[in-house]
Amino acid sequence: MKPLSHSASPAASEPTVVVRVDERGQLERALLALLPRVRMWLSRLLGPYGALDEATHACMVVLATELPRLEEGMSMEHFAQRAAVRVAYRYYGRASKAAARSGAQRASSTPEVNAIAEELTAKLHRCLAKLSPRRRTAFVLCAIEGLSFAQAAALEGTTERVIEQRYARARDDLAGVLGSFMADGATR
Amino acid sequence: MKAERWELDLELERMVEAARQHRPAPIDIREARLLVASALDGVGAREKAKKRLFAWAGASVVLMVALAFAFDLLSGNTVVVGPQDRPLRLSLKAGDALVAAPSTELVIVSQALSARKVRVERGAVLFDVTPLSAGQRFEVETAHVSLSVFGTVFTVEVEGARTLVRVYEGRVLVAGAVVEAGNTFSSYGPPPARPSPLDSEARAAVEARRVPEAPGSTPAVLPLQAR
Repeated sequence: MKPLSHSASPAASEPTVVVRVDERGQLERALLALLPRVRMWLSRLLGPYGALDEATHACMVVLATELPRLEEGMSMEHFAQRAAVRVAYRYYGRASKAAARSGAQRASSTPEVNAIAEELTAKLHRCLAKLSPRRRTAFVLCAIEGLSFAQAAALEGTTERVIEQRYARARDDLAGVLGSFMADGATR
Repeated sequence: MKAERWELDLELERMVEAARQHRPAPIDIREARLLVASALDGVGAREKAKKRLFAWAGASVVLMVALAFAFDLLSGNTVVVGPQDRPLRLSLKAGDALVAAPSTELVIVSQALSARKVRVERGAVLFDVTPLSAGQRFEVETAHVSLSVFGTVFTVEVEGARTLVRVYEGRVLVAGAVVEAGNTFSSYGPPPARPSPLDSEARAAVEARRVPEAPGSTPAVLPLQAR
């Protein structure tokens, strides 16, 4: 099974940055550079109503702790995305303590299209919330982030085959959840 | 009405496409700096807390080991003499001398001056107990009998199902009966004709008691030296 069609992965499209971080100034700069990406990954993993701010802070703490120990030759971005995935597992099912941030950005400039897209995103995450954390993560990484099974497996620290299975089951589960939502009229 | 799988897949595709376009609300640079600084401070605080925790844990372990060692020295000290070992001479805090024969296991249950207590699990032990003053007790117990002594030289042998007590000097109270010097008590059956394996040591101890000790020659506290 192949992931849903998608544009090129942001992780794949950007150059790999390999930096040794062992001073506070360097670390601060590295974290500032990674912050938007971390928020993006977590936002996609947790959904629009997830505890994004709390998870971002937790992920930054993890990165501040572990980046100085980054192995030579390891991509900082890959390292950060792994941390984001790990943190996301802790924050699945937690709603944001603060009100959901308004002003999510979209490429489209039409308010109607934006509203529909927001609704579809929210609906997808309502369905994803019914999945097990592992299947949910596999689906987000492969379908939304657009990573290959191998890349997702590297992030999760498992095999490509396992990710493929989780992804396939996640799709089946999502179809089931979506079907029941549609039948119940729970989704608009 | 139940939706077909292709309809569900199409809807799913639309939702995924919408989710791909989603960007979280932007975070301004001041807020970002604050968040990063807070994360860095959080790490510092966590590291400090971790170091403090490790320091406390280390100190606690050292204290517990020290207490356990001290407790072990004061009481409940098990002494095992292997079959190939030489007899082991021990001195209790009060000055009582013990000699454990090979293949012996004994436990010094208490070294308190008022109530010294030794348990002989197996083998033969010579007791050279300093004369007790009023209020002091010295007890020996085995699996078969309990003994009370009042300053004397005797051996206790635990062999199989019985305990033999041979008194060389003074008197020993064994299971309610007084055993005088030169006599042997057996907890089961008649005592054997053979002498105690610590007979020569016992006689030497009796001799030594007749020689007045030089002042300041109090035996050392545990641990004890091999003869």
